[in-house]
This record gives sequence, C-alpha cells and structure tokens, in this order.
Amino acid sequence: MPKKETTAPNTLLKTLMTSTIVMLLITAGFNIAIDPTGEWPGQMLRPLVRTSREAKVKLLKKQNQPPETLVLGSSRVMKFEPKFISKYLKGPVFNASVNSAMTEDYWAMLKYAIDDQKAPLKHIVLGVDVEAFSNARPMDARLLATPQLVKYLHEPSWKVIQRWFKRFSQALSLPQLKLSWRSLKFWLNGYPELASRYENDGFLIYIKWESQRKNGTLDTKKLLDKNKARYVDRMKGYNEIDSKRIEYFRQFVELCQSQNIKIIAFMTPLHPELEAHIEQKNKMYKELKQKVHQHLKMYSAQKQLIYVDTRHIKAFNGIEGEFYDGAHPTVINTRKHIKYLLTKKAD
Amino acid sequence: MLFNSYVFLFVYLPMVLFLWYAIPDKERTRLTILTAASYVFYGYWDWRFCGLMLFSTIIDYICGLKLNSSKKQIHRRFWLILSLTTNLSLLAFFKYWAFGVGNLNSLLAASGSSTSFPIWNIILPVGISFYTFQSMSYSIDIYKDEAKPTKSFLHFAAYVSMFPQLVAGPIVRYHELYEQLRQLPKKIQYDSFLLGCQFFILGLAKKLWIADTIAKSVDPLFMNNPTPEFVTSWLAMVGYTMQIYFDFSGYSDMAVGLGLMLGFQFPQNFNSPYKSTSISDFWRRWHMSFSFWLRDYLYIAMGGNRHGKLKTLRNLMITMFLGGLWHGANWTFVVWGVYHGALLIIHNLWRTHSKRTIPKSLAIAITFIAVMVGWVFFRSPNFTTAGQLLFGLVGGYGVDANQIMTAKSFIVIVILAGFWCFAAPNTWQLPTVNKKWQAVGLAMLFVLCVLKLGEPSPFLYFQF
Repeated sequence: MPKKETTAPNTLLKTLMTSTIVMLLITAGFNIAIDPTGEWPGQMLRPLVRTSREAKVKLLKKQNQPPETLVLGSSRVMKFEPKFISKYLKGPVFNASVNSAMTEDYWAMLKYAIDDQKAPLKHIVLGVDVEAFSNARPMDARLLATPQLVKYLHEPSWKVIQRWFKRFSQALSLPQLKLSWRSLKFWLNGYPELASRYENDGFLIYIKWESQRKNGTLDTKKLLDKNKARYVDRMKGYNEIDSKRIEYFRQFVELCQSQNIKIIAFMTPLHPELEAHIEQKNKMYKELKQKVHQHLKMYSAQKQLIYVDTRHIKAFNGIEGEFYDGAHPTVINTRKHIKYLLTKKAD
Repeated sequence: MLFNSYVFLFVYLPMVLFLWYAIPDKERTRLTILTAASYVFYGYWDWRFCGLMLFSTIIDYICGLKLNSSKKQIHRRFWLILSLTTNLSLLAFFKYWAFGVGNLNSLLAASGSSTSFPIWNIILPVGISFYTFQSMSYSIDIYKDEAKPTKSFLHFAAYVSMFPQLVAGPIVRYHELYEQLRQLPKKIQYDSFLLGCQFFILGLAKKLWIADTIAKSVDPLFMNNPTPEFVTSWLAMVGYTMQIYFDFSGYSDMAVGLGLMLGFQFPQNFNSPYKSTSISDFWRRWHMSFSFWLRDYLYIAMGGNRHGKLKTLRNLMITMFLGGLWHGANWTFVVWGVYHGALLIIHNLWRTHSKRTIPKSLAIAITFIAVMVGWVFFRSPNFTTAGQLLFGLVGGYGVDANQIMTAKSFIVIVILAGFWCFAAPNTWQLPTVNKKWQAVGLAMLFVLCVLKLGEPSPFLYFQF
C-alpha cells in the first residue's frame, strides 16, 4: 500500500499563519482602499456616507479666501446663508456647522480653521442646541472619524490607541466589506441621487425637500411628527450639563478672546409644537434649556461673547410654517434670524 | 474578554503566546505570566471579579495543604468543610441571593406576613460557577486521597485561573493538570499547536456562523410570543436545541484549542450528544466535565447505585435537581434539572424491567425529542412562556404552514446544523489538517470568522 503523503506540522502551521495574515491584509486593504464610510485619508472612491464634518473640512480647505466669519453649530444652522450674513459682516463667510454639533465640535472646527487653514477670523455666529452640553451623549462617531478634527480633542493616549484599533477592526468586519462592495458597485454603475449637498461656502441645499416644497408636495406636518420621537430620544439620559463639554466651551470662548474673534451666540429654536412635545415627554428639558441659556448669559455678562436670546422663534418674528421638519428652518426663517441677530449685535 | 473579539484575537492572544514561549527555561516566570494574563482576561469584564477569584484560590490552596498535613480525620473534615463552605457561600451569595430572598418574600407574603427582606442587586461574576466547582474538586480530591496538594501557590493559582477554560469550562480537575503544570513545553509543539488552531477555528466558526445565525431567529421566538402556532413552536425548540449545542460546544472547542496552543490538554466536553441513544448516554456526552463532576462529587458521594434501587433513583433526582439549579437562579432551570432527573429515572427503570431493545435510530430520535423538550424550560424566561411553547408544539394555537416559507432560510440553517450534529464527526473525531490546502482552508475559515466579530455575541454559558 502506498504511504499517504503528509506535510510536516511546522510547514502546515506556517502555511496557516501566512495565509491568514495575507487574507486579513487583503480584506483590510480592500476596505481601507474603498473606504465606504470615509474614515481613512486619501479616499479613492466617494464614501457612501458623506458626513458633514468631513465635507465641511474639505470645503473649508478649498476656500480661495479663508473666511473671516464662521458659522458654527448643528444642522439647525446649516441654512444660515453665508451670502446673507455678508450683508452685515465684512469679509468672506463660511458655514462650518455640522450634524449634531456638541461643544467639542465648535472647538475642533475653530482650531482647524485657525491652525490648519490660517483663517483670519473676526466673527463667529454660533448656534447652540440644548443637546450640545449633553452628559448622556458620547462624542460623535463622525467627529472621531474625521482625522483633521479629531487631533484637536483632548483624549488620553489610550483612547487614541483604542480608536485606531477600532478603526482597524472595522476594516476587518463583514458590514464594512458589504459597504465596500456597495461602494464599488455605485462607482461602477453610478451613484444614486443625493438628498442634500453643500455649496462652496458650506451652505446646505436640501435637494429633495426643496424640490418637494417647490412642487407643494412636502409634508412638513408628517416630518415634524416623525421628528418628535427622535428628538425625545436625543434627550434620553441627559440630566445635567456635562463638565467636559463646559470645559471645551470655555476653551473655545477663551481662544476666540485671545484671537480677538467676536462670538455672536444664540440658542437654536425649534418649532413650538416640537418643543412642547419634548417638554411634555422629558421633564428635564425645560430645566436643561434654562441651564444652557444661563451658561451663555454668564459669558455674555463677562463680555466674552454676545448672547442674543432667540430661544423662541417669536424673538425674531419667525414663522412656524417655515420649518422643514420642526427642527430645521427654511431660509425665510434663517434670514429673519440672521437679521435679528446681527442688527441686535450692532446694538 | 470574549474569545470572539478583536482585542482577544489580535492583541491578547498573540501577546500571551509570545511571552509564554519567549522564556522557555523560566518555569516560575512563565506561570506568573500565565496567571497574570488570566487575571487580566478575567478582570477585563470587571476588575472587582479578580479579588473574588483570588480569595477563592487562597482559601482552597490553604485548605489543600492543611488537608494533606492533618493527621486526624476531624481536622481533615474541618478543612474540607471550610473549603466547601467558602466556595458554596460565594456561589450562593452572588448567584442565588436575589432568587432565594425573592422566593422567601413571596412565601412570607403568601402566609400573610408583612415582613420582607431587601433584594440586593448583586452582579454575577462571570464564570463563578465554573471556577468554584473546579476549586472545590481540588479540596475534595485531596480529602479522598485521590490527589496530592501542590506546595506551589503559583501552580494552584495558574490552575484555577487558566484563561482558556476559566469562564465556561471545561471544568478541569487538578490531577488532570498536575503533571502538565510541572512539565511545561519549552518550545512550540507544532503538531499540538496546529491541532489547537484547528480546534479553535472550528469552535469559532461553530459559534459565529452557526449559533449566532440561529440565535437571530430563535431569540425573538422566545419573546412576546404568547400564542405560538405549531411551526413557530417547533422552529423555536429545534432552533434553540441547535443554538445551545453549537454555542457551548464551540466555546469548549476554543478552550481546548487554546489549551493546546499553550501546551495543555483539557478534557473533552462534548461528544456528539445528539447522537445519544438514551438519556444517560446523553449525560455522558453533553457538558461532560460538568456531568462527570456531578457524578463523582455528588451522585457517588450520596451513595450512587450502591444502596438499592430506591436510593439510586433518589440520588439521581437530587443530582439532577442540583445540576439544574447550578445553571441559574430560576425555577425554570430547576424544572429542567428535575425533568432530566425524571428521564434518568424512567430510563433506569426501563433498563431494569424491560427486556425489549429498541432500534438505535428510534432510540436516538426519542432521546433527541426528550432533550429538546427539556430545552424549552431551559430557554424560556418563565413558566408562562414555556407552557405557551409546549402548547404550541402540540398545535394548541393552530397550524400556519405559511411560516415554513417565511422562515425558509432559518430552516435551511437548522437542517444543516442538524446534519452536522447527527451525521458528521465531532471536532475530536476530525483528523488534524495534513495538507497545505487544508491549512489554507482553515485560514480562510478563520478570516470568515474574523469578519463576523463585529457583531455582539456573548456565549450562552457565561450566564451560568
């Protein structure tokens, strides 16, 4: 009987190890190269999820003239038109607001504008959400995935290592592989139509909503109702303004002061119906809103910023019907808002 | 730390293996590294758990030495009782306190008393049931003169805490590791390391690709489903039967694999249990290290089958009752244990009184169905759910054949899993890879498993 051929265990072990390493590297390499979530530098393909932070950072870098005024805040100030602001404040304006902005976002974006883009800032128009000081929400994953901004966060080195490890781990995951595959298919067959885009000055265009609004098919009531649960959920667990976020805000204000940058701050108003719903569902909301208001007033009293109280749209004669979804105002409301803020500031 | 996590596979394990083999001649240093690494592994869940394990280790180490040095039987008994009391008290406090007090309060309320005791919210340390049993077996073996105690605290601490089998077994007895701890492999034994990799990867695949895939469909069936119809009920029961086997045996395979990578041989924990031809056969094949523990330290200690039929049956029932309770502080586990006790009694009586033999395939089918019914109690969060599911199994809530089409992918996975259980060899019966293409295939399977790591998937037996 012929002797059955077998390979030596050490050779087999080497084969096992080498093939494992090679296959893992190929998988990770593929996911990093395609980078469907836009988390690695030097993206070859357009990410499937374009985050506002990554988009704003790139747009800011592309400005021919670095801005003298920066609009900061959440998506609720994304419709603050830089062109309209230019009527009141001299020099180029850039809207650097990002989704679900927290105080660390203000800080990181300001540092990026000053340190990386050498922007000669004179003004900052800052829209503060109640949630910006939340003690229940972790740092936004989209901020942590933007290398240009994340370097300005005060994180202990173990957290940085942990983040990088998580990023590498993600490159070895099935969901990421599926996303890469989808991204590759879009690249080959064409990308679907976007729901929104940014103009060069950071101003947001809601492609879908605005066209529906034009046709009279935008159901704002439905969108508002849909947002109710979402906004109540955003407040979940938030029972105190966070000390770390207070610290980021303090640093932000102090940096502006040291650079002679004037901050015109306000709290972003919601549609009264949405606000009433949150107040009804979350007993802490009113108190927290008051605390954030007081916090801003305190800085105002110390002449470190100009605080304009626009917690309610009545303050600037805002129109209830001029919200897309109860949280995001149309340009009609934002123009009224800007006018009120900047003429008030002039006072 | 979970075996099926990036941090374990890409940071912890490579570091431990490197350090383990980097200093081949320094036995004490290597054991210190292994022990420290095991405490890191355990403390990764909650560092406070480490103190508990250290406490249990110190007590049993001292008791072991004292048991050996004491000449008088009364003194030996004292040290044994101290060891058992300490371990069982830890277990009772952390695992059964809320359950016991809750039941006591219910009894007091039922008897009209207004007294009630506070129920503290105590965190259950992961794997406490496993290492306390392991630790207790050491003292009992020394008491019975079946093992010699170790003078080295390091040896004992390494034995109790050894990370591959620390949190979910197999429950290894000290005499099984005694020699191995004294003759640590000085360099990588390629054949056993390769076999270890094979065990580990197959275990990982069983867990991530079979158990977790099945779990996604099974879990909702055991929740908020008050009127499960016939097909759904059977899918829930058969699905969970497959899930628990692939989950737990997958973990055991990984533990054995890790042991082999380090140069240790752990006992087999599963031997194709669903191929069992009787319920007692099942208990010789399912969670073997645990059932042998119960047999040796409980059943035999109570007299086993040496004192007549009635006492044998009583011992069987007590053993299984406690075996059920060991799994968790819930009456559903107790009923599961009692149910198995009853099955063992029926089997025992059948064997004694009936001369009939039944065909092997029929015996396997009967045993399998009996075991599956037991899993309904085991998995259900309460008796209401278990009752509803059992009622659904006999068509109490009607039959909806459309469910077969709705769940067809789930059914395919369950059938494949069933084929693996009944027709394929188990991990211990598989030959070691001996061709390069097989090694590449194994590597491919590992990479496929790595891709699944991002999904949360704790092991079922961690809760016990």
